[in-house]
This record gives sequence, C-alpha cells and structure tokens, in this order.
Amino acid sequence: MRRRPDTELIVLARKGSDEAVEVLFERYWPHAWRSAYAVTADRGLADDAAQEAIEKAFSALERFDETRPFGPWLKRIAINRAVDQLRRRRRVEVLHDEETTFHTWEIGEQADEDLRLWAVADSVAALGAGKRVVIVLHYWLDLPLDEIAGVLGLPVGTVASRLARAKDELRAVLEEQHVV
Amino acid sequence: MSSERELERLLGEARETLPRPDGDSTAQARELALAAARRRRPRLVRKAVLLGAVVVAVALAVGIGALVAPSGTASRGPIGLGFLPEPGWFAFQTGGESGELFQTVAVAANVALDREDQVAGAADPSGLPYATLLKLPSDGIVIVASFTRPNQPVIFGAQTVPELELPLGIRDATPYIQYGTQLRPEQPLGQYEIRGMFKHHYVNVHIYFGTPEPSASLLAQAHRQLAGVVIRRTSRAAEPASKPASAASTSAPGVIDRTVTCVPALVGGVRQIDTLARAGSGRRGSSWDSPAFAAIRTTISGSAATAVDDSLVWVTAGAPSAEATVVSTLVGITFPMRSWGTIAVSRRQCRTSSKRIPLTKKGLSGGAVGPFDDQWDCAGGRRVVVRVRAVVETKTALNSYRGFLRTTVPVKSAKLVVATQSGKTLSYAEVFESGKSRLFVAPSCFPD
Repeated sequence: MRRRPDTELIVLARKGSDEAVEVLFERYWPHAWRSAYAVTADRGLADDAAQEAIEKAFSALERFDETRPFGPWLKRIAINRAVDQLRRRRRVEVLHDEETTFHTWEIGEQADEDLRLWAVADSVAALGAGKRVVIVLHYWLDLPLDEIAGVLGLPVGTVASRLARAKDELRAVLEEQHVV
Repeated sequence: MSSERELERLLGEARETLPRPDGDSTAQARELALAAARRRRPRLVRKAVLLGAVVVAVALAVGIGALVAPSGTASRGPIGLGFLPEPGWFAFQTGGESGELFQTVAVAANVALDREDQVAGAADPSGLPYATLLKLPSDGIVIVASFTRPNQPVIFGAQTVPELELPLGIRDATPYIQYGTQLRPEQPLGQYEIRGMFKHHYVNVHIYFGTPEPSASLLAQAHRQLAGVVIRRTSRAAEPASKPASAASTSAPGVIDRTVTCVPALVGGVRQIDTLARAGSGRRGSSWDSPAFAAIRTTISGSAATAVDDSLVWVTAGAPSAEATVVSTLVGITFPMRSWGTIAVSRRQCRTSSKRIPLTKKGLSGGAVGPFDDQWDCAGGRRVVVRVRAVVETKTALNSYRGFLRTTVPVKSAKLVVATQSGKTLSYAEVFESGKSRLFVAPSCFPD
C-alpha cells in the first residue's frame, strides 16, 4: 500500500480504505504541519491550522481531482488555515514583539552552515508578522507573488513591496551579523 | 557570489530549520483524517446519486424540453430542470438554474417525500432524499436527477461520459455499483444510474427501487417517469414549490429593511451558522479594498468556485473598491462586491419572513472588531430568522443576481440580527461607512 501512487490511494480512500487514508496522511501530514508552522511560528496555532486542513482535505476527497497533485493542494489548504488562524487570534500585530524561533536545535555535520541558517531563520522570525508571512510563503513554501496575494487578500503590488522591504530588513540584520 | 544571491540561497535553505509536528498533534490529526474520510463517504454516494438523478432528469428534460423550448435555443441561457409527474407521483426540485448553481436537483417519487428531504417545500439541494429512501417500500420508486455545468468541480469525470440522447429510458441505466455502497444494507435497494452530457451540462440520474430486483411493472413505471423530465430555458425554470423571496423593494427611500428565514446547513449533525464581522481596511480615497463587513454563513459549497454560496446574508458599509471581495479563496477566485453586492440575501437558502425581530443586542456580548474576520459559530436549529436594516446612499431595491438578491449601491450603515424561530437573538452586527464594525453574540456561541 505504501508504494502506491497518490491517485490510487485517493481512489481507494474514496472506496472506504482506512489504510489508504493512513498512508496518504503519513505521506503529507508533516508537510502540511510545517507549512502551517512556517506561517504561524507557533506550535499551537500550527497544530490547529494543520489539523483543520487535514480534516477539510479528507472531507473533500470525493471532490478532489485525482489527476492533480494531492500534496500541493493540502499545503495550500494548510497555508490558508494558518493565515486564518493568525487573523483570528489577531497575532499579526502581536508577533512583532514576540520571541519566535523557527529552528530545531540539531547540529548537523555542516555546523557552520547550520549556524548561518539558524541566524537566517531567527532573523525571519524576528520580522513583523506581515513581512515574515510574505517571506515564508515565498521562500519556504514556494508560492509565487500572485498566489501570495490571493492567500492574503492583498494586491500583488503590495505583496511585492512588502517582500522587498522584508528582504532589505533581513539583509541589514544579517550583514550586521556577518552572515551575508 | 553577491550578497543578494547569497541571501536568496540562505532564505531558501533556512526552511530546513522548521521543526516537525509532535506525536500528540500527529495522533489527533490522524484520527481527524480517518473520521473525515469515513464521514464523507455517505455524502459521496449521496452526491453521486443526486448527480445521477440530475443526469436522468436532464436527459428526460431534454426530451421533453425539446417540446417545451424552441429548437435552436437549447444551448443558450440558463436551463432549469424538473419532472412532469406521472399520475400518483410527486415531483420536487431545487430552485435556481444551472447557470447559477453548482447543481440543480429534481426528485420524482411514487411515495411522498419525507419532510427531512425537503427545504421549504422544495427538494433538498444536497440531492439525496435519504430519509425517504430509508423508508422506501418494496414497490416504491425514487428518481433523483441533477445537472451540473462542466466547468464546475464535478468529480466523476464529466469529460469521459457519453453524450446523452433523448428521450432517456430505463434501458439507459446501469446498476449503480461502482462505488460499492448500498444505501440501505439491511434491506437493499435497487440502485441504478444514468450519466452523460447534454448541451454542455453534466447530467446524472439515479433511480432507486424499494427492492433490489425490481419487477417488470416497477421498471415500466420508472421508464414512464423518466420520460417526464423537463428542461426549460426560462429564467424561472425549476422554481421550487416554495417561492424564493420576491425581488425586494425598499421599505423607504434610502432604507432597506428585510426579514428572512434561512436554512442553515447540517454539519456533523448540527444546524450551524457562522456570524462574522470585520472592520474596514485598505481605504483608497472614497472606497475600501475591504469595507466594513458582516455576514451570516453556513457550510454548503465545499468548493472555492462556489464559496460565496456559503453566505446566507451579508452587509457592508462604505463604497467597495474594485479589489473588494465578498469571499477570499485560496485559489485566487474572488467575488467582487461591486458585482455580488453591498447587501445580499441568498435566494436559495432564505425566504421572506413575516416574523418581526427587534434590532437589539440585548443579552449578547461583544463589541468593536478589527480588520480580520471575527467569526462565531452558533447552533441555530432548522431555521433561523435574519433581519437586515441598512441605510443606503440612494434609493435602491434588491435585484436578483446569481442566486442572491442584492444591491450594489454603497451603504452608509447597516445592522444584521440573527434569531431563532422562537425569537431568541443569536447575534447582532453593525457596520458603518467610517469602517467601524461591531459584533455581539449570544453566550451559547463559540469562536470559530
């Protein structure tokens, strides 16, 4: 079962196979959760958003076009729910002053490089939420500007300018730390 | 490597620092996934059945419709669907037309349709008369027909089904076994299906017999009723038995005051409605990218393409810009307020009511809300009463637009009250052209 492609798993899940549902879940849950976490920078909010996304996606399996990739679809739902979570909790403003850390403290073999990446992640986390969300959607979750605009309900031009300002701010911080 | 490119590289690779979900969260999510998949299976069958029924109905409608409408007009304009009932049969259909609905559903049965399968005297738009089928006697027959536009998110591979030729007959039907679901396992039904395309509409008809092996007499009855499907091309085609709210006129110059009864969707066994409000944001001179907004929603569509169908009533205040949308979706589909309305009432889920409910927030708690949706869930019962009172810039009426009654005239201020049928107030919202918005809800509601 675990080797079956998504399309077959979706068809089997629709026919009532719990095993197919579980395999799909195992395959994509970590990605959905990490997407939600990237946006919210909060484990609790990420749990809520990703679980909502999972529930919504599996509730809508019968409407899903199995000729399209399942993973990106679930990721988009997770991102949207995460943005909703931010809006609901009104944390966009609050996050600016919070200490947020993205990285996991696992030192890899490339310790120096890891430290640089941690510094980048910390700097991203320290951005105001409005800028941080644009950065993570674009660089970590690979959304183009027009899709970010759709997710956030903003004009594309606003997203582009916000992204540019966020990068300027990041560059200044990272140059000060001699990371770039 | 330039610092710009290095920054781009580091930004991209920093995603690897993201943590992973913990075990508890993963376990909960797994249970939710399994429960959601199990919960949806009956609905899948239900939708398939409805779609199948629509197919049959459409096909039949095409046959009869060819008589009703002049030739050469069949593919133009909205198409409504219905049955001409045979003697002793009952016929129901949802309101609206395929041009404005995800699907149009018609039901014909030689038994009375259970009340649970009706909404305001019309067929339940979900499309599966489940309560009726559970009690269907051995000589009972139910035919459910639906049709859907091919560009709607139909899941059953509309592109692979054949073109239908009319009139349809029972010989066109095949046993409905591909999804392997018997709706009444303890006393099996005979389940048959017809699927196909007609005039760019996806048609699906399901025929249910009270016995798994229908007699020649039952098959003949079904065959005759299948020939009774009608497709009409007038804008009032397939009008429900209970008429939708009539086009509203203003109660006074510059004021709209409407009270309607709405049907919340059944979600997880609960008739639940969402009340949400947000303050205005993104002001551009005299207009707003996101005007002050309040709405009553329920869960119907399940699709970004029809997300606006979840809205029962909404009000705004302040002039909307071209960017303003009633609903934002993940996939970038928008529903511009300038088209969909500054005030709107669902024609499909709401009907004009003679009830009078006060515009009061007595017994509720809340206050000013911010620019992001402040949303609350309230259990509303089978019906809720909604009153809208708005002061508009110029005299206007609510006109029909794609399943809603709406005006596009900018609103100065508006109030929205939701109450149970017994009169208990559930929520109260008000919006102002200054961008301010307030929301108050009953203690029984909870944040979404």
